[in-house]
Amino acid sequence: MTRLMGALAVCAACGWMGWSRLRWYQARCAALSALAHAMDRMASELNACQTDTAALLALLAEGEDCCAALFARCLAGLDRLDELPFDRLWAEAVRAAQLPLRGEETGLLLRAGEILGRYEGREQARLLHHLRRALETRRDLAQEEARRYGRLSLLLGLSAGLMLSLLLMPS
Amino acid sequence: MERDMVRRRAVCEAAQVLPRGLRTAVLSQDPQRQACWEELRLRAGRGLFAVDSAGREAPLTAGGRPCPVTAEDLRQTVEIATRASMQGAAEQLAAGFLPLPGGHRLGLCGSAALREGRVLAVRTISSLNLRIACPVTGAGAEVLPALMERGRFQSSLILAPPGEGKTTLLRDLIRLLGEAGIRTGLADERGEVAALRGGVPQLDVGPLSDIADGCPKGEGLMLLLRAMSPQVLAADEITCPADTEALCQGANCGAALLATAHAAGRDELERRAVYQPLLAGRVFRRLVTIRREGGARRYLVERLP
Repeated sequence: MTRLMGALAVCAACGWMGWSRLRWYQARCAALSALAHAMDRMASELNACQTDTAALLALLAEGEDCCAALFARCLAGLDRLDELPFDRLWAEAVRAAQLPLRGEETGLLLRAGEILGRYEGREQARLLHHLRRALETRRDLAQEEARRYGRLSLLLGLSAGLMLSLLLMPS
Repeated sequence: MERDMVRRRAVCEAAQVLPRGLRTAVLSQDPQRQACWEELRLRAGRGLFAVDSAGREAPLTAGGRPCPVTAEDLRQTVEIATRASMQGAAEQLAAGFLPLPGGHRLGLCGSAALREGRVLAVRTISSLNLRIACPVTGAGAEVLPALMERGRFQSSLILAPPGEGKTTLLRDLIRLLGEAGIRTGLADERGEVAALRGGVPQLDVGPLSDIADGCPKGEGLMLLLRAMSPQVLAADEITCPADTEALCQGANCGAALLATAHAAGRDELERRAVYQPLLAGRVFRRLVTIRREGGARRYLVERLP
């Protein structure tokens, strides 16, 4: 009985690892989608109204997607502009948000901190537009990866768990 | 003594725009020196300087060594002043200054980006001039009674050479007019009278003033006449024909006028061609000349025919 339960636990653990990997792929797609949408919103606001940076961040911090916390943290960081320049406050917020992104995608996100508030409004909008397109490209790649490897990860996890259980169970 | 405290408080307020390291260096200076400062100048690669009321410039030191200032310090100062929003301050930056909370002002210069011969932006900042506002209220109290006749404000022109207190007197008169229930429309082209920031005057211009900030005086005065029904139209530094033309139009619309001009007195005013239309049209009823006598300012009010 104990061995059976142990085998089931091993199966469940491996299955959970596979499931976690699937969830990570899905979360990464959602994050990239949300970030691309955020860049688009900021570019529109800057083009239309030259909205100031604090208002842009406040607007995005009100959202319910996975990136709202990033913008909220950065908005709070504006009170510390005398300590750190904005791009470093942005980088701090990105690190703290711990979004499910690969290294190159984090690099794209950090680029936004070097754009926001640095130039005339339309110039910022133009640069954010480029950033949005790059994030959308990464999102499309992420969706393809999720489609290919997401379920595979889950199946591998469950399979590994089953094999381990069989090996550990006495004949 | 009280004035020294007010000025030191103004220095502390103005210094909030500086990066933390520079702010600490400024506020750690001798308080008696701080009470004399009118400007702080930051120059990339050369240091931090304070300008006193006599126009003397001296470097600030920390621990016996000059306070270093880098190009990054200047960029960060502008970022603090704009709250990381160049987009909202683009026009002001192109004009070379940023208004700050409390009525202080950050002037900047550096490598300019031009478009069609016009400064579009200051790209690489080389120097900043933090002008510390220390408004003086009460200057207008001794003058205002002489500018009123039968309860009505008479169109008045304030004359003085540069730096003698014309803008301070103008501001205080607008404040007093407001407290007396008289509505003033102020065309504040360079933002030096009211120092509007986020729509709120940072300097006291009284409860009944309406301010057109940042636009040419002529257009500002016309906008105020059309939209705000002012009883008095005010403008600082009448310097060109467009300004005098706008004032003449304002006078024809029934508003009293309150303006300032660079001139030591009536004689100099009469010699300047730009003011001829105002004198010939008898637009102003009073001249207020500011003179320094024994370190104090005196206000001489003259009735015009």
